[in-house]
Amino acid sequence: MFFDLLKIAVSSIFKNKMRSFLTMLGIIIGIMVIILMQAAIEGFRVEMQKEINKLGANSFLVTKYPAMGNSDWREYWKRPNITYDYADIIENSCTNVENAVPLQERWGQEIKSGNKKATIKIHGATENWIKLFAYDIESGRYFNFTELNKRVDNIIIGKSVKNELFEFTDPIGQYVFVNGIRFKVVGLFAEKGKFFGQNKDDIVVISTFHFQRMFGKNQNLPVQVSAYDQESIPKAIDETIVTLRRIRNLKSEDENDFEIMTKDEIATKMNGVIAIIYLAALSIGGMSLLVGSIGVMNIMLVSITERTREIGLRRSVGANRNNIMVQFLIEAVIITLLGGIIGIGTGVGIAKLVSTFSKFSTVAPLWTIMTAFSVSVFIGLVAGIFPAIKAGKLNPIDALRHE
Amino acid sequence: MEENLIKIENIRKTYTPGKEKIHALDGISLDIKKGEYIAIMGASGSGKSTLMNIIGCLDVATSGKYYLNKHNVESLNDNELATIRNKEIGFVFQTFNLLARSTALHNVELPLIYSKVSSSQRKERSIAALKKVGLGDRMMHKPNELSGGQKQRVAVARALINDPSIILADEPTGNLDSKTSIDIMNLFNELHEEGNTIIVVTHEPDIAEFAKRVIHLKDGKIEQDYLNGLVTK
Ligand SMILES: Nc1ncnc2c1ncn2[C@@H]1O[C@H](COP(=O)(O)OP(=O)(O)O)[C@@H](O)[C@H]1O
Ligand SMILES: [Mg+2]
Repeated sequence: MFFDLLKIAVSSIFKNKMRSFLTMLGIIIGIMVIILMQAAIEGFRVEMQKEINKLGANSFLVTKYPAMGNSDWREYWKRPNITYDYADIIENSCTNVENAVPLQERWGQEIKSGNKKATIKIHGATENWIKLFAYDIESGRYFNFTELNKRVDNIIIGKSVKNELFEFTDPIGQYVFVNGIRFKVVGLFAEKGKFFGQNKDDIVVISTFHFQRMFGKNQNLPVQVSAYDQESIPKAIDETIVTLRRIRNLKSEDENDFEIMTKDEIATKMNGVIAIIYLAALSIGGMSLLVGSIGVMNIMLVSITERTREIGLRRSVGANRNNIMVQFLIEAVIITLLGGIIGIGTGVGIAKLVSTFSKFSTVAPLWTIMTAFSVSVFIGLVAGIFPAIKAGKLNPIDALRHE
Repeated sequence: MEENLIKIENIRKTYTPGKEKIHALDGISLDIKKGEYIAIMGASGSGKSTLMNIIGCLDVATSGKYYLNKHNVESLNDNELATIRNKEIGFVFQTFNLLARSTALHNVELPLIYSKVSSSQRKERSIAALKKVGLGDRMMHKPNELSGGQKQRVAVARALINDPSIILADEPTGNLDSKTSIDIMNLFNELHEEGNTIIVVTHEPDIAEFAKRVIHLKDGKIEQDYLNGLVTK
């Protein structure tokens, strides 16, 4: 019996393809939006995780401000800066620390050559910088060890800097100006591509000497500290804390006036932020689904009015209230389920396309798809129940006489 | 010994569409035996359809008693009424009332869906019913591919499919030309000869000629109730 009602519902959906499709549209879009946003967020999470993993297996950061902090910024503002010199002090006084690297970087700087300009991110070079940030040299060379702290006016540029300033010429040996200082291009990094819309190739690397001359010696920066191995991380952290407290002359009752951030902590904080993005995304998707389900309810009501005589006829040949109700409820559920399936299909398809044709990777995990499925069915039930009850309540003779 | 299939006692049906009450049926009492062939006649608005709908359990009377096959119809709930419509009654309408986008075959099998007959059985029986009404070669046609007479044959096949106790036809020839009307009435004659109980509503005397018993309604009351051939017109 149920199977027969199912067949009736399916055939009336297919006998009215255009209307059924328009009814589905709201659900298709809602589900698609949710799948896409979800895919984007998951992709973002995966990329972020990769980025965090670059920190190195045994590394942690020493910073002035907490990661993605939510408390009062002014309190952290008053803390002393973590400066370039801290790196050497930590590296020299902590036996479990293999090395400590200051991460010197500045956004939104300008580079010029002739009448051409480009906006860049400047890095101050350290010995391990190229390894740490995993760049490859395409032509020319990286700094030698001896150049790092000296007044050497050499610069290494990223691929998009080259494309903007030296589109058709070899950049090696050319001169550029950054903040009024003339540099000679000695190296070109191989292209890295984009990370979530953020260009990784609009960078230049200059010596620490120049970096500090431009931005000051005591500027605040994060220091990346690496322990020798996994087991020595806690010891390295303890030693680092002791060293920093000593530098800062903290009394035993004082709290730390700096932050130690391990990968796990950063990941935890990141997941907290992602959860908030999720909530926002879900409310947007939920809104479109709500609108979609009101659409389904509306069209079901219209359809029932249009098909009142059909209902009357079915009642006259022996359908009872439940038969009619179930028929229309199934119809609503199939419409939203089909809408959901199409929405999932297009969502996953677009996500796949996006990751194929860009470095912006997207992931649509199975659980989202399952959730989208059940949500579609649920919406069908909710949007269909009221029209279905209305259809079931029609009395046979009034329905038959309906004009 | 013929048994009473239908027993109606003092049935009234009152509508109150505005301030005035309309007595569509104003005290009808009627006995119908198994195997009878009845024509209900009367002017437009005399209550013919109202009476048919009550007999067909599509509508309920405002007051009075109605027994169908010994069931007291007033005491039945919606499900039981649906079962009666399904098993005991075959309705044929003036406007055919076929599902426009479904084949003749599907239209005919419709009552069997609601009596939970398996789909292979349904198909078999529907094919047989369509053959019986002379539409063996039109089974996969949709209503818009059929003539008026053919549509009404599909409707008759649908009415017959569940082997009902009584076939009710409310102006079945109202939308047909006179030749096709006679074809359809001949079909009812055949069905009657096979032992079916049939009630046909009509306002055309030619059509009423086919029936064995004629009931005249006027203003919701029975004006005349006679056997054809026994009363001279
Ligand atoms: N649903 C209704 N509401 C109000 N009046 C109705 C309704 N159905 C029928 N009537 C009235 O009842 C009377 C009998 O109608 P009906 O049985 O359809 O007559 P017939 O079929 O003999 O032409 C008419 O006066 C008609 O207007
Ligand atoms: Mg009538």
